[in-house]
Amino acid sequence: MDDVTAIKVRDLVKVFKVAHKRPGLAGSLRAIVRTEHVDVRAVDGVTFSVEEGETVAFIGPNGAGKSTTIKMLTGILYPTSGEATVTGMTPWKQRQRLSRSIGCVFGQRSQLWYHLPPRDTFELLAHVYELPVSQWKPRLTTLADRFELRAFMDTPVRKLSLGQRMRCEIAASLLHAPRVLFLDEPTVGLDVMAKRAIRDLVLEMNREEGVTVLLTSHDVGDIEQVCRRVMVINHGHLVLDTTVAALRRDFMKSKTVRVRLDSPVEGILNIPGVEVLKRKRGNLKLLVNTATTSMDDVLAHLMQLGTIEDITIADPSTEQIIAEIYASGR
Amino acid sequence: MGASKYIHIGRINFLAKTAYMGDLLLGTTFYTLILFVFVQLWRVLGGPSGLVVEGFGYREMVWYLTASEAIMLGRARIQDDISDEVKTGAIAYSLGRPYHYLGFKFACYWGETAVRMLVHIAVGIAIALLAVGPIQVTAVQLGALAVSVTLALILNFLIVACISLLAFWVEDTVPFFWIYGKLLFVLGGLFAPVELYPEALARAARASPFNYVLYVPARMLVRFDAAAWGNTIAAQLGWIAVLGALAVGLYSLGVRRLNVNGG
Amino acid sequence: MSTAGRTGAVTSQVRFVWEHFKFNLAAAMEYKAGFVSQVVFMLLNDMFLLFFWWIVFRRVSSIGGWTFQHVIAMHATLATSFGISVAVFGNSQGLPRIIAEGQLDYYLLLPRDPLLHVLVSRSDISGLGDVAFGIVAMALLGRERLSSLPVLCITALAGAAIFTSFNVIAGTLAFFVGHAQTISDQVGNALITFSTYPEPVFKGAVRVLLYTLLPAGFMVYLPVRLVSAFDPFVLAAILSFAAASIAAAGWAFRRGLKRYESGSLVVVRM
Repeated sequence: MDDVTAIKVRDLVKVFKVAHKRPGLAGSLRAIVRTEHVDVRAVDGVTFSVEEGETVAFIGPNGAGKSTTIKMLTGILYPTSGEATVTGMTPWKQRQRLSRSIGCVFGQRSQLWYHLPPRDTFELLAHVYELPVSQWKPRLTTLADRFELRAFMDTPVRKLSLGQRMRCEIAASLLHAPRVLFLDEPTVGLDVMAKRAIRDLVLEMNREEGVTVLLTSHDVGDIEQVCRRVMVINHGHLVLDTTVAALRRDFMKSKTVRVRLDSPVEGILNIPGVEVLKRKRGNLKLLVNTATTSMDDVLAHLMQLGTIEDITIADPSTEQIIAEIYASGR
Repeated sequence: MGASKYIHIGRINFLAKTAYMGDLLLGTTFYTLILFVFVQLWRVLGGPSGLVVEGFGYREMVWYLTASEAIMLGRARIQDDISDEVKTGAIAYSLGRPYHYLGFKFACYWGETAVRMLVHIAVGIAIALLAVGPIQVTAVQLGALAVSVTLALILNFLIVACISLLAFWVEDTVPFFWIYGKLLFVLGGLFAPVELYPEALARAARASPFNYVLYVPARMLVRFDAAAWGNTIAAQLGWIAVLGALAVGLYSLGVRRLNVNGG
Repeated sequence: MSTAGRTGAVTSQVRFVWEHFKFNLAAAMEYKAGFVSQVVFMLLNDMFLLFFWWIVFRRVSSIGGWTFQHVIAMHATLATSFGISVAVFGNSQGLPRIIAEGQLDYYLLLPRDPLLHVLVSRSDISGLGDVAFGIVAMALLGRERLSSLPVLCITALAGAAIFTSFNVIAGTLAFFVGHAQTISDQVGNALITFSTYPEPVFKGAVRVLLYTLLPAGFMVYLPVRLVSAFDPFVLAAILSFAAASIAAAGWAFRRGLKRYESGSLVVVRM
């Protein structure tokens, strides 16, 4: 048994049989008699390893096979073929045992009891995981301090903001001190401050306790700030497995800038390294090539054109990054 | 014209509910079952123990039960929607729209009830015919019955609306609906015509609006009383007027409260 | 597993159920008015049914040998069994929806038996009103029936097990077919309906059905018989059936879960 490898995946394949109905009335009639099935290869031979203490981002478009892979790694689905171990256990064969070593936070499904204060959920989880009081009470204190939950530990969850709730969710997933943490869209719907708080906390837990983090997200900020490694999955294949730094360098070469100036911009706009995507009176949408141009230069140019009333600078979306990856021929 | 929009709303609901025909048909298994149980029970009751309701032979009992249960199960459920809309404050949005909330709900109710009633009537007739054969009814009587059933369903809507609107003041209206169901069961004559009851109870039943929802139309099917028909319809209309006023009143009071308290 | 290990596991499960019930209760009591109205109105609701039977029995002395006392005992047992089932295992009737919506995943990720965990994660507080009614009704049976009290308690628990298991088995249909919630609602209602009418009403093939697929017989009819005249064989039959139901429910769920884990249901959600 390999102690240092948290997750090991080899040639993992998952094929779904999807009922296929031909369109129209004839198709419906035929479907009643005999349903045709089409094979969908959601995960088509994925191989990777994650060492303990790594922070890995798992990105890809919807339907790429991300959640299917995560479900296999957490034991909810069993694969068509291939192998995987998480902390030395085969997830779909030893699911209940594995559950004590992993923590999961899925953005859509809350594990907090809505009408009760978070403290109660923590206590219930302690019972669920059969944690001795001498273990979980001090742990809860530590987590409450670190995640700054004290102020609302006794407020019913329904009265908490989304940011507060997410902090409780993640703290709850760490109560039993798992070795691997699966996070699925943990910052969706949060404001900028709350996102930062969540990212910092996850990173802190990783540094302090060595929890391995596997994060799926559509938010590039999550990936950049939390993870050191990123795996891109598309059409069931692992198309890229590299560091975030390399990803940034090779594929995140642009930013989108939306600016509103106080006066309409006349004439041709010529800023080096900047492509004008849209312009309408004082509103501009620009694509900035960050490899060749610094944001400072762009801002300086814009300020010469007029007073900036409003400006938004956006990272490329994961879809854009993946499009870039494909465009580069990988 | 004002009414046409409500007709359109009703029509859309009707079409929407036909999409759930599968579930609706599956739901008629309970209807079939409950009729079976009631019929069996009446066989035992009416047998050697001789529990006989005046003027109701076995065949009349079966048709009576078919009719009363058809209305009971054919009514659309709108209470959950209204209670939710009150709780979330969404009910206030209708103030800005060119229709009255209750009119809108009424149209939705009818769209769904129409589908459900058609299905239950069809199934009910099939079961009763199979079980005991036809009863004597003329086309005129059926027409008169249709009027009464329609009024009965309107009355049900108003009662349900009044109870649901209490959601403005009470946290949970669901328990009130359990009681309404039981009131329909007992005072409404779901299982047995009011004639069966001891005098005091029969009087209470007749004085309540509940017996106009089930007993009155069901009885009309099996024992049509032409002379009394006018009075019966008048009584149904009377109750509709009273409960209609109550519903509108509750709505106005409730919405005002919402605006004052800010939902 | 040693007997000490097995007892330990059972105690752990019982504690687990109890902890969840306490939490559900606490959550419900956050809304005091709603809590009280649910319990009280359910009690009243059930009383109505007895009132109805009282009217019937004023005109008729017995229904195939069943008197008003029998009917009271029947409703008492049904209410208590039903009440315990929905109050403690509140998710048993909603299982199809939970399965169809993929909410089972949450329970699969935790270190507890997923079926038990799903069942106890919700509580229908009105069930406490049913239990209260059951107690009141049993009291109405008169002092001479007091000796039957322990028996009634045991049969109430057995009935709760039977009802819950029945719902679970019906619910596992969702692993295999569509419209499972509607079907499951229908058969659940059917079971309850049959359990509210005296046994002599049903004869022949229907009677057989009520001792097999729709176990109203084991849930209420046999317990009523026990109230009139205690018979250890009848009690044993009830308890055996309850145990068998639980086993069947567990088996059905595990079979369905295998299909769930193969992802055949994911098709719906993809």
